[in-house]
Amino acid sequence: MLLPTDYSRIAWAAICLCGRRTLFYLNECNYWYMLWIETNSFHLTICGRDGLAGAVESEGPTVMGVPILKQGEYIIASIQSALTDQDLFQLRDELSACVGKHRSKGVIVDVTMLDVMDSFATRTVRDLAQMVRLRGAKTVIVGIQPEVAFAMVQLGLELGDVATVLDLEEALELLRYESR
Amino acid sequence: MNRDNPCPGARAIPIASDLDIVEARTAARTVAACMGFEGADLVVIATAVSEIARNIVAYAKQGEMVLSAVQMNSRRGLQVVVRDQGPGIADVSQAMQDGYSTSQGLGLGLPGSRRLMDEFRIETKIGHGTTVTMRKWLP
Repeated sequence: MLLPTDYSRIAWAAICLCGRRTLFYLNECNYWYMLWIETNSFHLTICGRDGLAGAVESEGPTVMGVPILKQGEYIIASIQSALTDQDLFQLRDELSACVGKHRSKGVIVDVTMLDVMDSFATRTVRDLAQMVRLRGAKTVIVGIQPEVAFAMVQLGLELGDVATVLDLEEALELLRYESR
Repeated sequence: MNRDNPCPGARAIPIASDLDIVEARTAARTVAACMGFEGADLVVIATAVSEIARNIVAYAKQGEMVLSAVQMNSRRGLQVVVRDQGPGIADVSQAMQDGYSTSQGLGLGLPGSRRLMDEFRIETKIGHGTTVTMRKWLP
């Protein structure tokens, strides 16, 4: 079992695992813990982001609230708050870089907490999936809320051939199935 | 509407950066929720605000958004006015078509927002700016 190297990382992991989503994510939270205990390769990677302690303490929208976790040959990015355009660009570039750094086969982007997927966010996610594909991995989008899906359709947005599933478990299953 | 805690009145929110876009849609969502909008309507309003606010950042560089409650006959609703003193739109009917964009966007911002909201009006004058007025009525 890999121990976090400093307090800020512990705090970040705690927020990620059992933070604002505790109630909503009770099952998934258990699931995370399971992953945490069962695998020794599951750990928190920062992927080039500095000032994590600051990010944990501050709750303003300037913070890019996206912890990036590595689980085996997959990367899991869990969006925790509204993202600015710059944050989205940064996430896209970091995930693309992470794929190379960790030799990952799949990228999971959890958008459950996103309350808006406008045309910019949709295009950036599509670009992200295309970039990841060019880097030899597959992208799965997790947890688009029904209201968000409704607004996306009204707006005329589509994610093209980017895979979408309802929860993290399904995303991992899909990636494992496809890499068989 | 909660009488003890009235919804925020008309206030102007400056829009000049991508951070302001997030602030604008958060403000719109908060005011809409306070007025009694729920679920999909909140997302729809926030999405339309996001699209229109981004147009300001992309084309006019800066502008402002004003949220207010409106009443017409027995209907109550939220009015969003987004205005700028930017370059204006040369061909509004073209800009209102799906897929037309001069900024490498998806070209869905204006026509998509019109579909999302109940009322949508756009006034623009070359060299003077653009004002978009949108309304969503409470069900």
